[in-house]
Amino acid sequence: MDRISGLPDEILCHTLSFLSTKEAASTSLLSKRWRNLFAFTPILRFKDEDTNFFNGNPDLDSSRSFSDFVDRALAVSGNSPVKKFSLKYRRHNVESAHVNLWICNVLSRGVLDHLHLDVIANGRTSLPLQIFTCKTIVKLKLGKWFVIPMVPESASLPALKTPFLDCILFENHPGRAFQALLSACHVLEELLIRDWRWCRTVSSATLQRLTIIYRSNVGFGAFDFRSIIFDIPSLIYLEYSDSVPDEYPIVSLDSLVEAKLNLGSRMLKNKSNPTNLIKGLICFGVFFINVLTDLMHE
Amino acid sequence: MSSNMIMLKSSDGASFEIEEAAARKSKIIANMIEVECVDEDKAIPLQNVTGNILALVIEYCNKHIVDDDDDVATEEASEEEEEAKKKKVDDWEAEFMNSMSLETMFELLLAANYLNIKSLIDLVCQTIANNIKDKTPEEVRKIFSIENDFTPEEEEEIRKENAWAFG
Repeated sequence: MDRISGLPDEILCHTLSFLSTKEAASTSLLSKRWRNLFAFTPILRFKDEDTNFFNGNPDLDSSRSFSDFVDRALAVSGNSPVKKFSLKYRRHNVESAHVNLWICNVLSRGVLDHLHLDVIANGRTSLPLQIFTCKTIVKLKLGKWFVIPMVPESASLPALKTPFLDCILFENHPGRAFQALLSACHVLEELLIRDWRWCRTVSSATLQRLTIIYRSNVGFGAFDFRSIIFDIPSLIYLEYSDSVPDEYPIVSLDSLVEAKLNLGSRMLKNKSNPTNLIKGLICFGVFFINVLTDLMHE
Repeated sequence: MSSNMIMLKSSDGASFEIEEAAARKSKIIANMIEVECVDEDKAIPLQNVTGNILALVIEYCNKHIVDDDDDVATEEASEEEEEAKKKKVDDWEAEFMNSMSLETMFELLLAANYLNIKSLIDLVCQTIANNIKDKTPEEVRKIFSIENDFTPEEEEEIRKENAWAFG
């Protein structure tokens, strides 16, 4: 046998984990020795090259072969450990039930530490509840329009340090569900939220870095923006782009070192009041505030 | 100074002196030092590593121990300095990997695996992965002298199984 094929499985799988799963799978044609090795790598990255966000082209063949490919890779590798699993597919035409099965599959293997999901599927993709009791997950990145149906009472994520919530939706009692999620993270360090229509309170004893980005072109109409609470005593870094609500009744940011604010007012004038927020920030080190002009002139 | 040096002995009997801090890059050796089974006057025998490969391992460890020291000395380094330093290490690593044959690379990988030096395992695996990336199976077979033991029918079947990957 040639030299590379003679290396132990473990080393070959580690080598293949430096490639996307698609690239790694091209080695399945090399020889019998390589046929299924790619599926046994501890890092699985299924990534569609075409990342065009709104590519709704219902190319059924491509969706079927993508689903078949992921299905097969997960079936072949049985219960082999998967530490990192990432899925990037935005063609609308993969079934959300499929995506759900894949997530449950990798979770059931018991050692997952990174989960990155950026999928736009046919039908709403709900996060399986099993994830909320995953003891090993450290980094969780959820892409556009994932739905969190509920956060169960048993939720406990003792290793989760960095949840990135990019335009996700909470189905029921969003504010409460979000707070329940934060409370379940005992070692929370960094949180990124994009489009946080659903939340008015960020409260965590351990959180150190927080980024909130609200796209101003999304309407506020139906959402209650009366008040926002920041109760984050360990926070060191805050990046915050949003419209200012009526008030900030609680601002506890005692450890803050750096803040970047980009604040604007809502269409409804005269009520936005960032006073408490500014007071909460004012006594700490470096910070940058970029208040949009319309607010300045009010 | 000599108290910080330890001796390593390759499978073919060559002896190498190495700073303890550099040798600690190997978890196996670090463990040996922890449990004090390293006798100052006696070389640690490494049965699975030949002299020429051990020389490369030591070169790598020495290079990276210097970098670690730099990190401590310039804790306040600016981002540009950090970047420049990282680029220097990357360039050195690229040059280091470029200088050896595939045969040597595999030996080095096995040695790094045996000695448990994670960053060196990653460096070699990444280099091998780069040799696979963006190449056809035929090209990869040629680079690594892999013999195709599939029948055309079997090959066709695999192309179908993993159709998405070959699309």
